[in-house]
Amino acid sequence: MAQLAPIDPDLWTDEAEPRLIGGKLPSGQTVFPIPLGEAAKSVERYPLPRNGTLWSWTRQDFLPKEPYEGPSTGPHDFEPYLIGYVELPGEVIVETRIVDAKLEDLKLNMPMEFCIVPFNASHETYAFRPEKK
Amino acid sequence: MARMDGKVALISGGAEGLGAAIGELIVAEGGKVMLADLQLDKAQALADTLGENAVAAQLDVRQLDQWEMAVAATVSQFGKLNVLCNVAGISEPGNTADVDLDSWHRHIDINLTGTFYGCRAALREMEKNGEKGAIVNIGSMLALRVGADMAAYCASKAGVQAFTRTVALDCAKRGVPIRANLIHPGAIRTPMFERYQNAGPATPEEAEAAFAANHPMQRIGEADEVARAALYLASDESSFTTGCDLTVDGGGSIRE
Amino acid sequence: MSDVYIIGAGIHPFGRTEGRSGRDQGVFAVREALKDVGIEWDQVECAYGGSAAGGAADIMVNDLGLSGLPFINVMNGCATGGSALSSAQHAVASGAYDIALATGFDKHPRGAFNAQPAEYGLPEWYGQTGMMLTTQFFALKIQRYMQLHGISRETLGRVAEKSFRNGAKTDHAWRRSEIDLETIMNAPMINDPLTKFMFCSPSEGGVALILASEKKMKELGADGVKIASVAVRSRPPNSFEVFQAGVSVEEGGKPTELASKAAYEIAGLGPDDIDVAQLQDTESGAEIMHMAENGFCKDGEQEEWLANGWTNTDGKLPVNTDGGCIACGEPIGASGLRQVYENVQQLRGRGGERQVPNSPKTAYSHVYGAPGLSGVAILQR
Repeated sequence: MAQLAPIDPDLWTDEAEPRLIGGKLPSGQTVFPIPLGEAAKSVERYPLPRNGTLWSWTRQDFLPKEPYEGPSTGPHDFEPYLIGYVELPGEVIVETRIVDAKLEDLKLNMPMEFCIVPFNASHETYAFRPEKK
Repeated sequence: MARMDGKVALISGGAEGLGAAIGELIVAEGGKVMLADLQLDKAQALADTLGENAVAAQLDVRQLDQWEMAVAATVSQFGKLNVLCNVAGISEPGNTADVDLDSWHRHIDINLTGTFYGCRAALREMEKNGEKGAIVNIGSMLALRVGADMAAYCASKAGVQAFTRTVALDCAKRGVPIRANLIHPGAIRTPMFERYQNAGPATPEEAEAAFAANHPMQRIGEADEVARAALYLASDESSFTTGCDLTVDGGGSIRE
Repeated sequence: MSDVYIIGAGIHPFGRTEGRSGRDQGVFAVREALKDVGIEWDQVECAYGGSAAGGAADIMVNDLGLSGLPFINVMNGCATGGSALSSAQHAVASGAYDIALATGFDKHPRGAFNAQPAEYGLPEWYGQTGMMLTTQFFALKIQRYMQLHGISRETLGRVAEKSFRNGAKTDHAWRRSEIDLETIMNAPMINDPLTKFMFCSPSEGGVALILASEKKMKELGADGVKIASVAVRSRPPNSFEVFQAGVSVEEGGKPTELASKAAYEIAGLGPDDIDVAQLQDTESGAEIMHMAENGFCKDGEQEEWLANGWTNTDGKLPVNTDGGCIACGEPIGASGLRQVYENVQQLRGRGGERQVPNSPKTAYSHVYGAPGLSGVAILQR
């Protein structure tokens, strides 16, 4: 399989165990994503923890319009995907895709871990999956 | 009698004219109907006279989400959907060079897209019950024998003809027991026709005579003549008929 | 500051009206409101009006009449109507004017809102990876709420069932067919747990309200309803709003709670004093959460409320008596004013088939929307 490029070059760190990149405001508050443009000047680049708990979730059951760039060619081969929020304790609650799980298995506060997954033919993106025991 | 026993039908344009006549006949034959129309009050009044086997809903056939609501309301009331009759339609004159652009779009939106949206909204629901189903669409004598000065109308009705055949093949190919057929009415006595009669400079009698002259049987048709054709196509009596053109036009489409 | 009354109310049916622009729907509503009071356009002394997608409101004078009145355009997202009402109220309460108009209308282009990340200061990947849908926000918000407070899916369905039942009795509603609970629950899922029939549909409409001083109302012999309070608030820190890739771990405040508390305080009333309420119901989960955010019940009690039909028109607190946004759609500029219109009609006993029984005396309306603002109005008879 050809090497997939990250959907955004500055979304997660380039390490063996990558971490999502957030920002630390002068006030000490953690934000995600790191702000763009002018607002970024006073914000410190801040890699986030890889583990958290499930804060909420849902499933996307129909093909979104553009700007969505998922792998399906049309409604007939669209695969529903899970989406949710994971609370990274003490830091920030991040919106994310959820993989390796079925909708009915998700539970509030379930432990989740960060991962990088293929997204479409050319890109990979980040997600969280239920923590393996 | 009772040829529509156990059947539930959704009829667009059900408040008056052809739609109302079809609705009345289906109820008389033991079926249940949802009369969906832009004119909710009229549809409701008719449903009230027909009794517990008829209900009404607001429907602008140009809105897919209104179609979905009408289908959901039908299922909610009667538990299922077997038959769809796309009757709502308009007819305005206009030749190619001069026809008002809004008029063109109205014809496509109501006559053609409205019919498509109806089938789109209803088909999955009709398949769910696993029973024999039927789609009855309304074409026109003028789709078979086009005339001048009716650009938008003829185009839209010809589109309905091709589309009805496609739907028939879609269902057959997928093995679902739903047939789709088309009625081509000539000039029929309905409120829409009466509006024509009163529109021009001629008297209503003169106008009717002019229309009648286009039909070899030398008269215009009555709404229940179309309704009886719709009953045949909607019921299991037409069990091996799909994608057909059934004229109710006094010979108008084949006139010399 | 003197008391201000709503003495006239007009509405253009919500839904889709081909060939009539949003502004024309607003003009229609204004004419209806003028007829309601029995005055002419040139008797209106000032106007506040707005629309999100329908263009400038002040151009309405071209159709209504060039009387030279001051016409202020209001553009405040989902609080446009609330802000117009609030401004018109202040204009009359201050004594500067005796009769004012508050109006709002909208006509949203067909098709889902194709929001672009850049418009919201978000990076491209947010949209590319499929997070840029407002329906997801509503689902995520109610999903968590249901887990925390024990709300069932049936309860979401019951709200929608009520919306359609009430909409069927409402001339100005968009969706006018009753749909039963089973059909609602079995409808295609948009974003779990919300099915297609639990969402409102963006649509069109126009509303106009004529406000007057007590003196003017008596002079005209008009059938008026007093404005006890109007409060519009924007979001406090750390609130959870749409299109947030990151949410604060500190649970933030809610703009609804700010507006609600302010409105109750100004009016000198509490939730128990309210006889009928119109609460923002972009989808049925919103109506549920807003019952608590506006102080009518505690988190989790909505389960019992809906099971017992307490928010039905004949229940202990009728909510969204005209079917709300779910049945009427949500033309942004008009939606908040529709809620006030409905309350005015209920308090005047003009609810027809959907009239709340036992002569309701106090009515509450709550609107909420992006990017996180809320408007509450309390009316008294």
